[in-house]
Amino acid sequence: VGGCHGSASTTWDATFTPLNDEALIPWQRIPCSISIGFGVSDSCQTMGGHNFPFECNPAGPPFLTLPSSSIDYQGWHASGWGGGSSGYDQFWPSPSLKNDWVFDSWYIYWDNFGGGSYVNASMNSSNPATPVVGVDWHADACGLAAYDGSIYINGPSGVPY
Amino acid sequence: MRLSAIIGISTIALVWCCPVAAPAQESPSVVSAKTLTREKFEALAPDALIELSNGERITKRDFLAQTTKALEEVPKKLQENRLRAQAEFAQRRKKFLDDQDAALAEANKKVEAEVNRLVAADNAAHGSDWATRKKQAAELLDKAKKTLLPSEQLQLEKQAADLLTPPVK
Repeated sequence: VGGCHGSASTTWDATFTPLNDEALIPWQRIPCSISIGFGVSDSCQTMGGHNFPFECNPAGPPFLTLPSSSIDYQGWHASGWGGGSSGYDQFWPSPSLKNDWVFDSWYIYWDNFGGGSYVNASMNSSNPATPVVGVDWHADACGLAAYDGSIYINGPSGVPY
Repeated sequence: MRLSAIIGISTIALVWCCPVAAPAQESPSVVSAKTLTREKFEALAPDALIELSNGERITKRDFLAQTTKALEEVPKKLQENRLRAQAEFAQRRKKFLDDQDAALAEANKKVEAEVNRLVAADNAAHGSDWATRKKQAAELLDKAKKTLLPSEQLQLEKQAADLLTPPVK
């Protein structure tokens, strides 16, 4: 850079990288869908119920209270007698992440009982601003498939996501 | 009379020698969980076996006991694991921020070293008092800009130029 009287100032190349932070997507921002629809024994987030069928456990409480959460996504599926029930649940951030915040990692814990009840969870983060948790589940005859998890994100510190 | 005595003895002999076998103990029936309904389940005896879809067989009594226990434990396990995951996340975030701070400090050290190197090279080329002279020249040029007298302006600019001229070796 030229200056007056033939003087020249020095130029330096510099790369500025924003400071990043990690966060959990709050559950209020994670809607969900249930392939078989909501019911008294089929729920995700706050929709549907946490019933365990009376016909399976006449002595037990029909409605359970899951631990409340300010950050997690969760699902609950219980079946009565017969062939059980199966389905596919999905969770994703809405609106999508913004300001360069992206998916980082995820957590899920499940607990199931009754015959061949299972939970198979997967993450599709091909769009890092809209990561989608997919949960393939089966609640066997008088069985239960319940789960709880979190989505971790990473982005510029102090900037809304 | 003799005949009836013989029949009587035979009967006794038969009874004593070959007691009628008691009916065989029936093994508890196994009911598939898939075919159960509320009514069928209620009608089952406590020891009746239920076959679950994974092949596991369990009595109605044990099924009820296990289900009750499992239902009590599910919320606890979900909560315990959630708290553990939250603690792990907090730790991981702290490490991420610490690593980032360390990397920033390291990068800033390099920048500082490079700045010092360039300043030293500048001083070597222009003299050790280069920084002071530059500052004085900048002040003179600033003053020159503000003055209304062209002659004074020229004089100030010349003084600044002299300060910026490398010393003759």
